[in-house]
Amino acid sequence: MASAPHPDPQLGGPFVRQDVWKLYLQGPDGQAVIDAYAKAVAVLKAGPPTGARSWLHQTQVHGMSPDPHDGLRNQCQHGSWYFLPWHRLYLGYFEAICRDIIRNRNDIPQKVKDTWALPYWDYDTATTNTLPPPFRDPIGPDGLANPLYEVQRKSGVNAGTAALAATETTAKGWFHQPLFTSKIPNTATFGGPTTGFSHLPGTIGTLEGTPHGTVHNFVGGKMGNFNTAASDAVFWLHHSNIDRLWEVWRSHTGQGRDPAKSVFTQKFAFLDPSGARREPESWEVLDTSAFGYVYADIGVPPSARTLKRERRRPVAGIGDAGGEDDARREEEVRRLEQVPPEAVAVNREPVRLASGTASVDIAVGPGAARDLTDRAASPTEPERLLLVLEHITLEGDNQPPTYAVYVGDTEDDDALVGNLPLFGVRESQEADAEHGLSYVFDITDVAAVLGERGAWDPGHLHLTFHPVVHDEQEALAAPEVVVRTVRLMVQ
Amino acid sequence: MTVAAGRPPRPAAVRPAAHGLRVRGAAGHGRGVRAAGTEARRFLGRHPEWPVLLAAAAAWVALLGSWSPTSGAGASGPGPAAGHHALQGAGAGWSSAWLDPAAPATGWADGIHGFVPGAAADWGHWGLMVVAMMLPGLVPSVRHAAFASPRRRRHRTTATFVAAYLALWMVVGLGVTFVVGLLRPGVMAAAAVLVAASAWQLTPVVRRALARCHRSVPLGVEGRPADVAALRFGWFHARACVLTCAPFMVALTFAGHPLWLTLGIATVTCLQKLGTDAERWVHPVAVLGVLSAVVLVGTS
Repeated sequence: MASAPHPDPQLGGPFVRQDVWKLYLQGPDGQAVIDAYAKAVAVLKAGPPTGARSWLHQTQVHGMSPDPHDGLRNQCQHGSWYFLPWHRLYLGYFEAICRDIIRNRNDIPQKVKDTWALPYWDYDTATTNTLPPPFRDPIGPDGLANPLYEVQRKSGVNAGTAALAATETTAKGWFHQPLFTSKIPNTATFGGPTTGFSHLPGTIGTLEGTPHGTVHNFVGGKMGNFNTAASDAVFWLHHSNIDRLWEVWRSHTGQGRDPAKSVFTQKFAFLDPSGARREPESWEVLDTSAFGYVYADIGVPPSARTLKRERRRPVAGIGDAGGEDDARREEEVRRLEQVPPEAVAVNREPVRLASGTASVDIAVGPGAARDLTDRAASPTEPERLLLVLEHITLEGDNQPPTYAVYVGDTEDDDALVGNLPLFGVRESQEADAEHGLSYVFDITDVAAVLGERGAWDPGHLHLTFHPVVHDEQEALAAPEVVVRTVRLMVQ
Repeated sequence: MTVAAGRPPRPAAVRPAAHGLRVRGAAGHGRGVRAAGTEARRFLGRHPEWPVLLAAAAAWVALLGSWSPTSGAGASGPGPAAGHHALQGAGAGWSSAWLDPAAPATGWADGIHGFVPGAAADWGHWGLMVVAMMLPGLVPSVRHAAFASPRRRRHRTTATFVAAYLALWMVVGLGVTFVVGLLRPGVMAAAAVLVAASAWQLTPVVRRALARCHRSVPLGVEGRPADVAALRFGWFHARACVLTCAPFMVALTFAGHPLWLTLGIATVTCLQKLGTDAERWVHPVAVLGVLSAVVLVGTS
C-alpha cells in the first residue's frame, strides 16, 4: 500500500500494541513504553497549531467547528461502517508520528525506540476498569506537568475511585453480531450501517455503542464531545482498544465477513509523519498489516466467555461449531442481509430520562399479534427481535450519564438490552446533522433467556432505563434526555 | 420481571429459544411459476418504495408524451401551453421577455370560464412535474416509513406520507399557477428566478433543509395515531423539500418546462436528497443553475 506508512524493515517484525495496564504492572520496562508515549504527547502539545506534529491539529481532525472545509479536519466518522476504518487510519498515522518523535529522542531506551507501539486500555475486567494510573496525576514521574493528565474528566475518574461497570464494557452486544454492516435500516450490525461520508451520528453499530460510547461517557469532560475528545491523551488508548476489538471480532464471529473491497472505497485524508497528505481507501485497513502492527491479545473477551453456549449463535472456537451449525449460521446471515426488520409495536409516550430510573411500556396490539402468528406459520420467515431507540434529544449543558436498558424492573444481566451512552447526542441535534442519534439492539437472546424462566411477555414489553452512576452529584445534575421512539421489530 | 395479568396468547414468532429459534430454509418452496411468484413477492416486500417509483415513472411518461418538439418550447401541460409565453417574450420585445401580463392568454380572453380550466390544467401539470421529479428523492424516507410500520399497514402509511408531502407542493403549485396566469413571465424572468434559486442554494436555510431531508419523526404502528404521524412526517419532509427545490421548480415553470432543464433539475434535486454530506453539493448546484440561466436566455 503506497499511501500508508510501512513497517520498518530493519526491525524485522510487526509492532505489538500492548495492554497499558499490563505495561504499568510490569515494572520499569513496561512503564518505559508508557513514558515514551507521554514524551511524544508532550512534544505534540508544545508543537505548532497546525500540521502533523500539532496536538491541536490532531484534535481538530476528529472534530471542530466551524468546519474548515480542508478535507483533513472535522472528519471523524460515526454512525457508519466507516467508523472503524477511519479511526484505524487516524490512530495509525498518529502512532507513526509519535514513533517518529520517540525515535529521535535521547532519553528513551533503545529497545523502546525500536519496538514502541501505541498501547491500548482493555477495561473489560474488574481490575482494569479504572483510569490507568499514569493518566491520573497532574505531576508526572519526572516531577514535571504530566502530559497524560487531563483535569476535565468526570468526578472520580482521575482519583481512580470511579470504575466502569461491567455493563459498560461488556462484549455481549457486539461479539456475536454476524453482520459487519447492512444497507437495510434498523438492522443491528457490528460495524455500523452502510452509508456515505458520515461525520455526524445516526444509527450506530453495536461496538460503537458499547464500549466505545460508554467509555467516552465514563471519562467525560473533553472525552464527551466530538470536538475535544482527541485532546485527552487517553482517547488514543481507548480507540486503540476499540481497534483491537475489531480484530477480535474479525478473528472470531467476523471471520470472512469483511466488507467487499470493491465497495469499501471511501477515501479519507490524513497527514503522515512527514506532513504529506495521504488519502488511503477504507479497504486498505481492513486488517492491521498496512500500518505494520498487531495486538498482544485478540482472544475472546472475558465478558463473551461467560455467554451461555446454548445461545443460538455458536461461534467457532468457543461453541459446538460443527458443519451443520456453520451452514445454519451462513443461512441466517444470508437472510439477515436481505430481509428488512418490520415494526411490531411502538411506544405511545416519550421516555424522559434524568437522574432516576425511567420506564416505558409497549403493548403489542391484537392486530400485530395476529400478524406475528401468521408469520410464525410460514416456514420461511426468520426470527430476530430488535429494539430500536431513536429521535433522542437532550436539553441542558451537563453531560448525561450512560443509561442501561433492561427488560423488566431489575438490573439482571440476562435482561440487559444494552446501553445508551449518548456520546454524540448533542452533535446529532445540530442544524446540519442529517440524522438523529439512534440505537438498535438485538434482544433475541434476552427474549429467549427470559422466556425460559417464564418471564417474557411479548404482548406487553416493560423496559426500564437505569442511569449508570459513578458520582452521585453528577447523577443529580443529569440533563433531561427524551427518547421519543422505542420500537419493537421482528426480522 | 413484570408479567401482565391475563396476557394474550404469546405470538409464536417471539417464542423463546427453549424451543429453538427455528432457522427455516430460505430455499424456494415451490418450483417454476410458484417459486418465481414467491421471489417476486419477497422482492417487492423488501422494496416497499415500488408504488412511489411506479407513480414517478408514470408521471414521466405523461410528461414526455405531452412534449411538443415542433413548437420549440418545453413540455406543454394539458391546458394552454405553459411555455408559449416564453417564445412570445423572445420575439415581442425586451419588456415582454420579463413579464407580459397584457398578453392575450386564452383564459383571460374568454373570462373566468376559460381561465379556470386553463389554470386547472396548469396546476395539474405542476402536480405531474412534482410526482415525476420529486418522488424519486423521497425513496429513503418512504422506506423508513414503510419499515417503521407493520406489514399490514405499510402501504397505508407510505400513501399517507406521500399524500401529505404532495399536498404542500400542490398548495405551492396553486400559487405559482396563479402568478404565471396573471403575470405571464418571459424568458428573462425565468432566467432571473433561476439565478436567484442558485444563490438561494448557498444559504444556511437550504443547508439545514437538506439535512432535514434525511431525518424522520416518530411514527405509530396502529390506528389514528399512526395516520396522524404519517401525515406529520409527510408535511415535515415537504417543508424541507419545498425550501430547497421550489425556487428551481418555479424557474422551470416560468421557462415553459424545456426538457433539458426539466431533466437537469430533476437529476440535481434527486442527487441532493439521495447523497450524503449535502453541503458539498451546494456550490456545484449553484454554478450549474447560473449556467442554465445563461443557456436559457441564449437559446430562447
